[in-house]
This record gives sequence, structure tokens and C-alpha cells, in this order.
Amino acid sequence: MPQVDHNPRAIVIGGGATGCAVARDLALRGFGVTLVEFGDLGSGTSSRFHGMLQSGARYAVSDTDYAAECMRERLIVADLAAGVVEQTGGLFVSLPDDPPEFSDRFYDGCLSANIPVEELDPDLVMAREPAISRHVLRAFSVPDATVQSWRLVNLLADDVRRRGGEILTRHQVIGMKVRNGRMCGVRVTSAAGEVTLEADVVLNAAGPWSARVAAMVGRTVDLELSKGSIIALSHRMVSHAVNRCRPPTSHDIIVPTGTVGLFGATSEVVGDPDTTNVRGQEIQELLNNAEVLLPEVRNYRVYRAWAGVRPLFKPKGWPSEKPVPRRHSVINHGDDGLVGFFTVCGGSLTTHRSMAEDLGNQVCLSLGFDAKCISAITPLTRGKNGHGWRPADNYRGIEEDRCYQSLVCECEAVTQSEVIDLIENHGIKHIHDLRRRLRIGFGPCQGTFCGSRVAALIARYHPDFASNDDLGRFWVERLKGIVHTAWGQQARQALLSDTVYRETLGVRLKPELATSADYR
Amino acid sequence: MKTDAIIIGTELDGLIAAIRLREHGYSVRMIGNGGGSLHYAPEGIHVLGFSPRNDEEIICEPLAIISQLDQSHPYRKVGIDQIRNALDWFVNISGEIHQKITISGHNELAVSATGLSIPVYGTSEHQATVGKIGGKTAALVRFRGYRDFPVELVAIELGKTGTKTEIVDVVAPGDAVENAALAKAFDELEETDSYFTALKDSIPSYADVMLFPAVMGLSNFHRTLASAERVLGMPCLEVPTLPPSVPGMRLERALTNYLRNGTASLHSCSGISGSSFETDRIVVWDDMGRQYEASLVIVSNGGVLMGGLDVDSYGVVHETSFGFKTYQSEPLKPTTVGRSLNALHITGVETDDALRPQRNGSGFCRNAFVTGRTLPHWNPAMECSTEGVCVATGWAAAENAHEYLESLNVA
Amino acid sequence: MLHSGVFIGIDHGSANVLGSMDQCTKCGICNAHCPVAAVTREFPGPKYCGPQAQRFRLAGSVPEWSPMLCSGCGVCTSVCPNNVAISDIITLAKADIVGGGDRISLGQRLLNRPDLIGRLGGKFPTLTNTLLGSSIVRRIVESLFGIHRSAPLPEVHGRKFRKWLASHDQENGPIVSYFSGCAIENYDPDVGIALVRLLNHLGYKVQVPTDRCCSLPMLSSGETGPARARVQALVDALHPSVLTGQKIISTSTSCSLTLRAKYAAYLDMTDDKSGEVASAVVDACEFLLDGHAGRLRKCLNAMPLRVLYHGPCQLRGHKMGTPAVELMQLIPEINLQLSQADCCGIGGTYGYEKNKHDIALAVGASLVEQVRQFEPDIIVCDSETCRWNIEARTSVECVHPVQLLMRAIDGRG
Ligand SMILES: Cc1cc2nc3c(=O)[nH]c(=O)nc-3n(C[C@H](O)[C@H](O)[C@H](O)COP(=O)(O)OP(=O)(O)OC[C@H]3O[C@@H](n4cnc5c(N)ncnc54)[C@H](O)[C@@H]3O)c2cc1C
Ligand code: SF4
Ligand code: SF4
Repeated sequence: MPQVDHNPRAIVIGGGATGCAVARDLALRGFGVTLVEFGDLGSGTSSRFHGMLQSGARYAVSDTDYAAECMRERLIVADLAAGVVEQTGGLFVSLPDDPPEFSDRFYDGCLSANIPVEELDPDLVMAREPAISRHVLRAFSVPDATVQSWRLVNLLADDVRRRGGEILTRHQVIGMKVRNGRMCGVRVTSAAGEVTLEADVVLNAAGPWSARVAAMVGRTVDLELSKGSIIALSHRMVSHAVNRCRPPTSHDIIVPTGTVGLFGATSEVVGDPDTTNVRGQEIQELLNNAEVLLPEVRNYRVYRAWAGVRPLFKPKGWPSEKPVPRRHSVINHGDDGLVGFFTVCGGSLTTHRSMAEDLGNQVCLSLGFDAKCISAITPLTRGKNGHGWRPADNYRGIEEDRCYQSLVCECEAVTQSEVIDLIENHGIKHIHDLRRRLRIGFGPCQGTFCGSRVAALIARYHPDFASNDDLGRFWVERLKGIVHTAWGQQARQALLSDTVYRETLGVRLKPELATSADYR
Repeated sequence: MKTDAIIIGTELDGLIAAIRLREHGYSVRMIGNGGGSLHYAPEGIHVLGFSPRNDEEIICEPLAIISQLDQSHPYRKVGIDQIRNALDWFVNISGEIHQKITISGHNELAVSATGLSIPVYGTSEHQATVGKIGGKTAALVRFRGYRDFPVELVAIELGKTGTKTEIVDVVAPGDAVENAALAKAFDELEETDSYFTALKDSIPSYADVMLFPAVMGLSNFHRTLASAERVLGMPCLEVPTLPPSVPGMRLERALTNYLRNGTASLHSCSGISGSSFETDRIVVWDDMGRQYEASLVIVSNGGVLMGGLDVDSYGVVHETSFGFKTYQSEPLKPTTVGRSLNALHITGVETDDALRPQRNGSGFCRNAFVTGRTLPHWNPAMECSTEGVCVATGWAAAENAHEYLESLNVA
Repeated sequence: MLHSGVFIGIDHGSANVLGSMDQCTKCGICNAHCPVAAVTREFPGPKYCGPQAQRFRLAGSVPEWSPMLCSGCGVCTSVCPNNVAISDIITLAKADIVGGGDRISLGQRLLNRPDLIGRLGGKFPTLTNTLLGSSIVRRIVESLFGIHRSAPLPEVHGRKFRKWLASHDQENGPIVSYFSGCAIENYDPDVGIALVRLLNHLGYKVQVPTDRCCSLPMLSSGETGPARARVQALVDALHPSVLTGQKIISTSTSCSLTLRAKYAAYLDMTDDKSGEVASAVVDACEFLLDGHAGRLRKCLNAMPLRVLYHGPCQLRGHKMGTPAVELMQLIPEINLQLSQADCCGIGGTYGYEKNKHDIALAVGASLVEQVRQFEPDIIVCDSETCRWNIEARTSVECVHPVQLLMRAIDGRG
């Protein structure tokens, strides 16, 4: 077994939840780490998900081991990063359409997976959740929670930086350097040009793009890309994450997160990891199914829709009728002749940490580097960690300081000082990147009023700011989600917003903006 | 009480139609639901700024290309002669209500809230245009704590067109920070001269034009800006802000007052819940159960934007108050909405050339007319033609209504 | 249960009010017309306090202050193009803040009971008026109860309207009910007298079923707890006349709006009985205009006066246009000007409170300025607290439209 005598250097490809967790795991073990991310942190699948920190109950019957892993991780994450987790709790409700025998199996599955489950009186549940169907036959509570993914990835990345690691966003890996069957670095391109970064190991955590990354050195990863679409309802119609009690399929969950309720998701196998467009048919499919759980859903206002691509690991020869396993997989490409190159895929956002732990263990083993995983016991944030995140926290702060006029995004209660802090101290200079970090433009008006305010603040610090393009991209990106849900009051909103952007601000939707890929 | 006409909506088109009908001597009742879309209108009269086919193709002489527009475009229905008459008439009215608009026969480039250029046909006196500031050095006013005027962006964009800019930090009277509060503060400012005199020192000596956000008063802005020009010794112009637009509110208020003094009745309601059509009589009732009777109705309720039309979750557009037939390119599915909202912009109530709608299950109405955003086949956001279409169709509807009412009298 | 996309009306309870938040498109029109937001930065405005904050209120409870600065004038709701019940959302938030009345100040508690004060003071009207006219007493009242020393307190009149009505002979005719309310009963008897005479003139016989208060001050300051029983008693008192098919006429746009729509919105009284009472209520001017304009026109004498009409904020909530204007336009030779001000500032009992008095003054400034310029002989306004306020601030006589009409009939131009 080879032995290293220095602290190894690692390059992590991908700045989603998985990549950030891998970088942190290794940094904690003493690695020198560079993370390379094509867009902004968390701009891939990690920001297009359903918002849940899963208890695992959803998989209690189909994959009990994975369910147990979710439960373990859910507790660890809520402990390490309390400030980004809201302990909403989850409900599983059995409706007349759902297979009646499933409920008992569900209950037993939860017990085997160590998920605290409790059967509740259906009437009580319907009283507590007035928006859901009046035909609940059985109901169970489980400790589901929600997590703010952007805040999470940024916490992870900040911790990596604190420990000497480097985070390169808007850098794309375009090739690898291999010497004598050993991976020794990557070629990276960015606005500043092309460079080669050297390392002892290269870790592919590029989510749905990981097969493409592996293909750069002729390796395959057995991914199944499963696109999922989600709609954001105007407010928290429910106070718990409510699931249908049936074998996990599509469109069976409503999740209260932030100030909205997310209903989803569809699933559809796609070939291209960049497939994030939503089809009109999917929306109708979502609404038709949502009507069973939320009878009034067609009267609700829906802010927008979006899609993400799940990077599922589908082992070769997996029977097509069986659901693809949810558990992650670590591939040591050393096993097929490329030492020092690993891919991690599958899993979920909930299990990002255990995925990183598993990968880190195998990397250390292969390098003969003796360092234990301490990511589960090392606090992620400095300072107080006690209480969970509450969506009303922003609002509370504003009421306390009475700083109403300093609000930049009124819908999500984001203040000018928060924006300026990121611009001044974190080098952020795009509206999109502020949006992800602060939830700017997430509310009812979808960026109508905050876009130009934010742009003006950026311009204050960066006089060369290409404001027109940045605003145009911002509006095109917001539009991308709104056009799918432009009915009822949101149709009115959409037209008002378009009127403001085009007639008041004078932004023209140039063809190159309108057809450009997602701005990440 | 029965009136000759009922006008639904307090949009620009409805106000125009009402004023014109009053001029013809008819009694009018306007029924609207809250503030109209003039609150969203940046300054000036936009007739046709960009080609309806291309978001970026600037139009220089809008009236010259009316004949090239699609047959279904509202401008084609109104016709070039009526459009000219309507605009000339509006210019007159605008002078009378102290909101003077000037037209020069071709588009000027107005400065937008972010400093970009938007072609505009009629400009108001203090409206900032590229023509008025080109080649000059502009002092840009940034009021302390005011967030609805992205002045830094204006500086960047004007810089690109060769106008030198300097941002000047200013405290507004009463430290006001919202559009309407600023306008009120300036309206009620007693000593405008001394306010601007105090400002003078902070303005760089080489500046030769001042750009203020368009919030310099709702009723007294003439006085305030005149005082600014006198004291500062240079042109003082206004650049639009984020909505609600103070210049739009000025116009809405002035037109409304003009109407009220002409003794039209103005009503507000939350919605029209039903109507009954007879050959020479229309009754509409609002959702509080009040009934209004008239010889004809003009529907100017702002289309989808202002709630005149509804879109359901299947993507179908409905006109529910009167049961008019609507036009839509297809169910508004993402495939047709595309990445823009154009399909949504161009839906509306289908009409004949006299702007008369068709009721579901019957022919074209004789005693109903449709105007403005409720009409289909035009795209305000893309064309930048909102006020032009509203003035032209509001006027045309009134003229057609006049013709109809006369025919009743003859009979 | 929250609904999106529903209209708020007579039979809609608090869930519909709150649910209307989802109709907001953030257009800011409400902010542009809110009289309070225009004069103070302390108040974040209707858009923020109403639909915006409501999204957060739904997601977790937060201690709040800003809703308390809203005067409840309702201008925001009337200008919103998207039917958001803005001022009702804010009022419900106020009720939460003051715990339905448990945490309300003593002064506001007093102001919330104009009927009680009127009845007590009415026992010794001269003494009360002299006392309240004394600046020393007002200063004591201010420090004890937080009621501003120069707030326009009306004079108490004992039971003048009742006494007049008891001795007033009415000819037989179709019967209508008059909801006089505490203001007419205790402070402003002349309006009631004018209305009864006017209706008699048109051939009606007027009945006054109750002298109870509509409880608007309580509701708008969040004292919903104690309001409930009072309101139920009022509905019970009015219902018999409704059953006989009578209209209930009101000379106060704010009382009538409360009767029509607020019991459902704030107290969830959406039962049939309350609904029947609500739908029978009609504003005096609307009643007069609808079907009586022709007769009135014939008996109105010329009145060559400069008249300024200020439509109270609550008038817009009725969504009936400005019937008073249409009626006054029937008076020959009248020189009528319409107020350009959104609000006179008093906001019911709002401007009486010590800490809000300055805001109220600033709000009313533009009306005062218009009065200074137009120099009216008389000001007309449909709501009592507004009239007392306008009169106190301008020293011009301020009357209800029916008073002006009655004078024109009497030929007292
Ligand atoms: C609709 C939907 C709902 C979901 N709901 C949940 C849920 O509720 N709970 C849950 O736990 N999980 C959920 N998931 C799963 C979860 O979102 C994903 O498993 C997880 O986010 C994957 O994270 P990742 O970091 O592996 O991938 P990503 O977040 O996609 O990160 C990969 C990153 O790699 C970068 N990259 C790619 N190529 C390159 C390159 N060449 N150079 C540099 N960078 C590159 C990309 O830009 C991207 O940022 C959901 C998934 C979907 C699609
Ligand atoms: S009720 Fe009046 S004071 Fe209150 S928010 Fe609305 S407009 Fe402003
Ligand atoms: S006017 Fe209505 S829609 Fe506009 S911001 Fe106010 S509440 Fe929202």
C-alpha cells in the first residue's frame, strides 16, 4: 500500500452539496483542497430540489437501509447547521387512492429504519392542515425537516476556506492530466483564461454532470438522469411536509419552505444534465395530482415552476422494472486503471455528508493516509447553534430595527446591508449570486422591484458593472419559471413585471439573452 | 340614474373615451376598480417604439409604418387619420390640464429608469431625453435613502452614450424616501428657492443639466422645477422611477379631475358581476349588487394586466363580466408563451374594425366597444406603444359610440 | 383556510380577508395613496404592513409594531386594483397585537366607547363641555389617557335628537329605518334632524330602532373581544326592521361601512341574520339619489355658495361613487369644488391619540391648504369625526350633505 509523507492535495469537481461536503470532509482530514465549480455554488441540482431534509420515511419500505441512513444524517445536519434547518415535521397521509395495505408496511419500515413514527387521528390531522384533502384515512407523523440549500453549501464552503481550502467558482474543468496511469491534475478554464491545477487526487462530485466529467478520461459512470419539476405555491398552505402514504413515486409531496409551499415532483428520464426546462404537460400533470392532496390547488397562486436533474446511480444490469436505488455510490476509478480518480454519485442532499465521509474514507485508504472523518462532530458554524431557522426571522429583524426603507427585496425582507456585505466582503457581483444567497426575487413579484435596486448597489461598488446584461439575464431567468405558471393572479403579476422591465427600465429581451442557457 | 354611456375601467383609454363623450355632450358613468395602469406608465406618450416583430428594432417614425402593421393590430382598426386626430386632440387636452405634451412627428429617445433609451413620440416638458442632454454634463440627483431610482445604472448607461455624469447626494424635504411621499414633500415645500439654493454648493460647477427622479411633485411640480431651473441656472429634467409612477399619477389625476368637473360620475367597485344586453339598453351590476343602466358600454378594463380578463390554470383566457369572445393564440401553454410573455400580452377581446366585440353565442354587439389593453393583437411591452394605443382606441371608441347614439336619436 | 383569487364582500370572513394577500402584485399603488405613509417614515405603508407582512405572519409569529400606525382609513383597499383587503388585513394584525383588547391603552379604551362617554357626559352636558373646553383639564386628560390636548373633541348634546324625535310629528308613509349611531345621539343631533325632515319631505316615515354604537373604534383598534357582544346586540336590535323589508339608512359612511362589511371581516359574523342586516344598510346619499333625484331637483332652491366637498376615506369603501356630489350638483347656482386630499387626517379616533396627533396634522395639511386657497363658505363631509376635525382645523362650518340639501329646501342659502 502506498504511503504519503505530506498532506495530500485534492481537487474536487462540483460545488453542489456533495462537492462542498467532500471538500470540507477532506479539509478536516488535513488535505489541501481546491474546489472547482462551473457556475455559482449550489447552482446545479442542489438548488433545484424539493427543500427537504428527509427523515427517510419516504424510503422506509422500498429501501430500509437508505432510509436509516437518511434518518442518521438528518439528525447530524440539523445539529451541525441548525441555522439552515427548519424542523417542520412531516406527515404521511393515506388517501382513498392510496394502496390501503401500504400503511402498515410503512409503519413497520419506519420502525426498522429507526425513524420515530407515530400514527395520528386523521381528523386531528385534517383539522391541523385545513388545506389538504378531507378524505384522509390514516396519518403518520415523522421527523421530516426542511433545509435552505444555498445557505448550507455556503456554510460548507466558508468552512473549507477557513481551513485553508480554495473555492473557485465560475471555473470549469475541461480536461484532466494523467501521468503513468495516475491522475495528477485538471485543466480549468475561466474568464481569466486556462490553467492546470495539480493534485494527488481528483474527486468527481459533479452531480448529473459526473458522467461527462468521467468521460473526459474515458471512464463511464452508470448514471440515470431523472428530471424532476416542482411548482412553488404562493404561501405555506401546510405547516408540515405532507407526503402521500404510498410507494414513492411522482408528485406526492407538499413542503412548506421559506414563505412558500413546494409541490412536486415529476420524474422523467433525460439524456442531458442541462435539461431544466419545464413542459406545459408536466404542469398539468402536477396540478392534476396535486388536486388529490390539495383540492383547491387550481385556485392557488403559483409563483413559478422549475426542474432539476437527479443524478441517480443505476448499477449495470439493474432490472428495468425495479426502482433505481437511492443510495449513493463511490467509484474508485483506480479499479479500472486510473489511480487517484474517484466519482461519487447518487444519494441525496440529505446524505451529502455521509457521501463525503464514504468517499473520504476510500480516498484515505487508497493513499494510505491515516486520517479519520470528523465532519459529523465538528461544528459547521461558529457562534450560537441552538435554534433552528425560521422564515419569519428576516421579518422579525426588520420590525425590531424599523429599517423598512432599507429593504431591497420587500417580498423576502432582504435589507440593503445584507446585499452590501456580500458585495463588499465576499466579492459577489452578479444579481443571480445575490439572489441565491439572500432569496432575492423569490417572492410574489419574482424580482420586479428588487432587480434594479440590487443592480444599482452592485454598480455603486463596481462602476464597470454590465448592468443592462445582468438585469436582462436576471429577468429572463425569472421569466423562465413564471411563464409556466402565468395563470390567475400570477398572469397579472407576470405582465406587470414584464411591463416594468421593458417599458420602465428599458431592458430589451435580446435573442441571445432569451435563448442562453441557465445563467449559473 | 341612467346615463348615455358606461365606461368600465379607469385606464387611460377609458378616461379618453369618457372625456371625448362628454365633449359630445353625453352623460357618462365610469366604473373602475382601484388605481389604473397609468400608475405603471413612465413619462411620455409612447406610440410605437419598437417593431412588433423585433424587440430591438427601433422605430423612428411610428405613424409612417402603421400601414405595415398586421391587419388585426388596433392601430389598423382605428386607421391613420383617426390616430392623427386622436393624438392632436390629446395634445390639446394635455395643455388644458397642465400636463403639456409635445409631439414632433418622430420618436425621441427618452431616458429610462436605468438610463437606457426608449423611443417616445410625445414628451412632456421636463422629461429627460437623449436629445435634451446629449453632449452635456449631467448632475444626477440621489436622494438619501431612496431606493426606487437606480441612479448608478443611469450613470453607467448615459456614460456609454457619451454623456458625462456626476452623482450628487441630496436630502429630500422631510427626508422623504418613497415616490408619493417625495412628491407630496415637494408639493408642500414652502420655500422651494431656498431649498435649491442650499443644494447649489454640492453640484459640480461644470454640470449643465440636472436630472431628478420623476418625483418632483404631483400637483405643484411645475412650480418646483421652475424654481429649480431658476436657482440652479440650468435645465432640470426628470427621469422615470420604478412604479408607482408619479408622472403617470399626475396624468391620471388631471384627467380624472377634468372629467369630474365636467360632471361625469365616477364609481368604483370590485368587479362587474353581470350584465344584460338589449338592443338599445345595457344594464351592468357590480358585485355589491348595484345596477347601472346605459345605452352603451365601453370596456376599458385593462385586459389581463388590470383584471379585465382572466386566465385559468389550463391556460384559457376568459372575459367573464360580459361574456365577450376572446382571442388567444392558443391555450397559453409554455410552448406558445415561450420564454417571453408575448402570447399573454397579445390576448384580448376580439372585435370588428369598429372595436365592437362579439358576445359568446351571438353576433357583434352594436352598443359595446372595447379599447386599450383589453384589445388583442398588440404587445405593449414589446412595442412600447401603450399610451398611443390607449389614446387612439379610447378616442375611436368614443367617436363610434357617438355615431351609434346619434343613430338612436334619429330613430 | 386561505383562498386565493376571491373577492372580499359582505359575507366573507377573516379567512378571505387574509387570503386576499395572495392577490397582491406588489404594484405599490396602495403605498402611493396611503395618507400616513406619505407623511412619516415610521410607517412602512399598506403594501408592507398588509399583504407582504402577512406572508411572514403565516410562517411564524413575530412581535410587531408597524400596524399600529395605520389609521384604518381604508384608502389603500379602495385603490388596490387587485382586490386585496389591505386595511382589513392590517386591522386583523392589530387585533393580534393587542390580544383582542387585552393589551390596549386606557385612553384608547375610552375613545372606543363614544356611546358611553356621550351618555355619561350627556347627563351634565354643560359641565362636561365646560370641563373639556378647559385647557388644564385637557392637559390632565392627555397625561392620564394619552388623548392629545388639542384633538377635536365634540360637544356633548345630551339626548337632543331623541327628544326632538319624540316630539316630532310624522305623517304616514312608507317606513324606513334610520341608524343614527352614537354620534347623532350624543354629539351631532342636527344631522339626524335634517335627515328625518328630508325623508319626511319625500313622504317617508322614519323609525329609529336603536341608539347603539356600531363599535367601529373598537374594531379598528383591535379591541375585538369586547366588541363581539355589543355588535351582536346591535344586530339583534336592527334585525326586526329588516324582516319587515325596511332599508336601514345611515348618515355616517363609516358606521354604515362597518355595518355592511366589517362584522364579517373582523368578527367572522357570516351568519344569515348578520348578512341580512348588512345588506339592508344603505348610505343616506345613495338612498336619496336612487329614485329621488327628480323630486329633489324640483324642491331645491338656489344656493350661490362656495362649497367644498371632502369625501371621507370610508366613503370609498362603499364603492358607490360619490352620491353626495351628484345630489349637490342638483342644487342651482352652487359653486362646488371637490377636495383633492385623500384624507383629513383624523382617521376616526386615530388623531386623538397623543402619539399620533402629529401624523394626523401632517396628513390633513393638504386639505387645510385647499381650504385656504378656495375659501369656501361651507364644507361638506359625510362622516362625523372628519367634520369635527375639519371644523376645528379650518374654522369653516362643516356639515353633512343632507344638512346642505335641507337648507336648500328651506331656502336658507
Ligand atoms: C426535483 C428534485 C427534488 C429533490 N428533492 C430532494 C429533497 O427533497 N431532499 C433531498 O435530500 N434531495 C433531493 N433531491 C436530490 C438532491 O437535490 C441531489 O441529490 C443533490 O442536490 C445532488 O447534489 P450534487 O452536489 O451531487 O449535484 P449538483 O448540485 O448538481 O452539483 C454538481 C455541480 O457540479 C458542477 N459541475 C458540473 N460539471 C462541471 C465541470 N466540468 N467543472 C466544474 N464544475 C462542474 C455543476 O455546476 C454543479 O454545480 C432532489 C432532486 C431533484 C431533481
Ligand atoms: S388604512 Fe389608511 S393608513 Fe392604513 S395603510 Fe391603508 S391607507 Fe394607510
Ligand atoms: S395596491 Fe394592491 S396589489 Fe398593489 S401593492 Fe398594494 S396590495 Fe399589492
